[in-house]
Amino acid sequence: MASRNHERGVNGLGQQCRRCQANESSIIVRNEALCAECLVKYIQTKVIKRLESFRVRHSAPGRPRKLLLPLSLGISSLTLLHILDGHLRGQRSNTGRTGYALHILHVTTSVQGQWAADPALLKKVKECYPDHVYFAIPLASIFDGDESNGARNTTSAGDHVPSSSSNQNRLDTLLTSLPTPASRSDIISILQTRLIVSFARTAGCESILWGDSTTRLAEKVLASTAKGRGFALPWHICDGPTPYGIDFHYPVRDLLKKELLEHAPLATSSVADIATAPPAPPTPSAAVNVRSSTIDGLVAQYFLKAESDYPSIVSNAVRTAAKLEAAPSDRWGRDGSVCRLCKLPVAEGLFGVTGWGGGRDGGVESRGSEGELCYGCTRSVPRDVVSLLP
Amino acid sequence: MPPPCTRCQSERAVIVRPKNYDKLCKTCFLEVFEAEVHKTITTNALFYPGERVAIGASGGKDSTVLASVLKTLNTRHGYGLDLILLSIDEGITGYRDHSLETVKRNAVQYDLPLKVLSYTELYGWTMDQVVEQVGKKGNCTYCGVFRRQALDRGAASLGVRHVVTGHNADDVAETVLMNLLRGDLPRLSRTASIVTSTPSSAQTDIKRSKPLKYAYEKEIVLYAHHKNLDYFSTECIYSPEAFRGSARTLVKDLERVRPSSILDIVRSGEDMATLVPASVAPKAASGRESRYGGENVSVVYDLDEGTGGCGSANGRDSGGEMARMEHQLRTDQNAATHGLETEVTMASLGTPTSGSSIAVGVRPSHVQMKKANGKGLRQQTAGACERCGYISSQAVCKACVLLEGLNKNRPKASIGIEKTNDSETLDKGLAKVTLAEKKRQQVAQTEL
Ligand SMILES: [Zn+2]
Ligand SMILES: [Zn+2]
Ligand SMILES: [Zn+2]
Ligand SMILES: [Zn+2]
Repeated sequence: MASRNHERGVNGLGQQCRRCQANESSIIVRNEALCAECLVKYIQTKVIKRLESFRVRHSAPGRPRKLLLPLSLGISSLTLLHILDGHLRGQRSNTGRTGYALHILHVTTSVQGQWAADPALLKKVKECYPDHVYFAIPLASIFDGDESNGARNTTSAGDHVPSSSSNQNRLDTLLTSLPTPASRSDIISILQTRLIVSFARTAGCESILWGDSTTRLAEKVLASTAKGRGFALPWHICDGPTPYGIDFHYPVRDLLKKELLEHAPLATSSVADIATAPPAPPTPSAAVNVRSSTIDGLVAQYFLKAESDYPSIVSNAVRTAAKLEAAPSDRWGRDGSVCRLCKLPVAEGLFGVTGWGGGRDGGVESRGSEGELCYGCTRSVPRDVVSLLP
Repeated sequence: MPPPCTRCQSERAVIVRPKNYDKLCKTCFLEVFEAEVHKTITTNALFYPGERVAIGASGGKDSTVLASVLKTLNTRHGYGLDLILLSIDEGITGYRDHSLETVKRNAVQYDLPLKVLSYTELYGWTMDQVVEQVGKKGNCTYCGVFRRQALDRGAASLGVRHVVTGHNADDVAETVLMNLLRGDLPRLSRTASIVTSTPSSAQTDIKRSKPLKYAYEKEIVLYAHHKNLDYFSTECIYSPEAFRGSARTLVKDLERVRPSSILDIVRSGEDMATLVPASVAPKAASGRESRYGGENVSVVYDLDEGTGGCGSANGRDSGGEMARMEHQLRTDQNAATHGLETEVTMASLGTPTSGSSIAVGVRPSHVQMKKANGKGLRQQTAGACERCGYISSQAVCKACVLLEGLNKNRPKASIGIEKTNDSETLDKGLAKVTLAEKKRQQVAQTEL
């Protein structure tokens, strides 16, 4: 392991590690100067602590609980995989069995103008962490049958489920019909979530373990708010049951993205080597072409800076937002009143963008999608594009 | 050649609406703008016939447009409102002079009565004197706390129970994001609500509403421009808060990417307010009856004492406020890590000026730490300040605390000249208020 020699002589770096009092510290984590070993321990502990309910004694022998880990191949989901892999090996050597089994799913998103990880990297991941079942499915397979009924067939044996070219065409048509990059980025992430959820349910997984870091969750808080998706915020950031009929867990929620980046090269060469990330969004300036910017990009940019200057404020914002309570099911409106696109429950009368205090009576803004799509989805999908939705 | 107006199809379109890019002629734009404010007023049942309503008037574009539109709609739709302009003179040399002149002209232009109340009358201190005493740094807190109470006190002294303010959609959106960043759920829960009320406490049971809540700042400027309204470009000259500045920049960027963003944030704010746990958001529905407005208007109690500062941030603060909160959170974190628990007090936060705005933002994390011991979120309880009777969640309200500090350090000479202290001044103010209250009750009795 390459010892990272930080040349920052400040903040007690180079002095004794605050935790073990033995090694020389090389990193400042939350005000404490730590050595590499203690940082690795710190990161592991933060994640494992979130997995209390998946201990061996909570599972029946011979029937480990199946959990889905969506792998974007970015730093957060890879770190989560790395830690869970170690966690499982620990369970096996301690008790001879494991509390859960991992299904790893990578959604390939080959969409023009959209960043995507190199799928070949998945092979490398498999070599490093061979004990799990891996799947890769293209985003376009969202058009396979009606996945909302859980009827979609998955060839669970194969690594790749090929998507027919007609599905790819439908996806391309949908995305090119959307008016702005902001809408495209929004819709792609919604379709990804839907696809992952339906895969998890079909595969019989009881929970999805998302790799979102504190920083990513903070982005979600502001981005969801900015997109008019505030009503659904708890379902995007809280641990527990969701209206999708499957539990969501965010085991990396207590760690900042910058901490994961510091940790990766210390923990294992594989994560650092494989981890890919979308290119940093351009620094906003007066000259930036807002027509090519997205809400997600803007917010990511915002937290890139906030995370380095005010990490505790970022964590605090996420902790606080997670205290919001999801709308109880008796406020969801009639049976089946979910948004046609994001599939989340919408309260009676709150579909579309006109039926509220800030909406207008009829007029230009009224859309055919009123009554079908939630507020946020209506903003992203123009009326004439609704028929193209999966 | 400009295209025809999409609404009337006859006039040339001269305005592209910032809200949704509709191309409108001047007449249609003015009509649409007014119609939307009317819709906001009627769907929220903001007023009742014969109601006396004070318009918080600063001479700036928002309150000037509000006054103009309310005057227009009151006549056009027969609201039957008794409108009055209420201005506060903070006593900032060169700042209020011009804007007060503007308000005076507005009073003539709209044929509305005007009442100007000075900080000297209300608190015994002008803002200039406060700045002289505490320095330029942190006086934003005084500005915020004093201003917050001033309108309510002013309204009460006039026997008016309803104050409308010029807060627009941009302001609301910015405050929603700011409260998310600060982790302030109690404020988040009421930011988006169009009506707030300071409960009970006879003198200060004032209803507040924001009829321009859904109006874009850019459209307010356009409206003022095309209506040839006479307003003064004001901006608080004192140091702004970093959180608000940061949120404001983000809102502006978001608006450029998607013009509807401002409205979308407001909508999210309204929806998220319903998700705030009941324990942190006292509502009229839970216990007290609202005596205002239509049947289904939910009045949100506003226990805010203006500790967030004067709210006129422009991103110029170097981030001191955020740095202080960051520091406090880290201290909490360390304490939690080492099994200690520190009480966050005004004292531990340093000066009351910088501290009081921090304390609010810090609480959630503090509560988070305490959660393990059983109790959940902070609950705000309404009570009255034991000195002045103003609504406060503490025994003594923020204004009285600040005044006490100011008066303690007031140079002897100055006391001699002013011959005043906080309780005297506030007593005077309250005497007025109580009188007005009595008058109101008499009126109510005669009505019965
Ligand atoms: Zn160590
Ligand atoms: Zn939706
Ligand atoms: Zn027209
Ligand atoms: Zn008081």
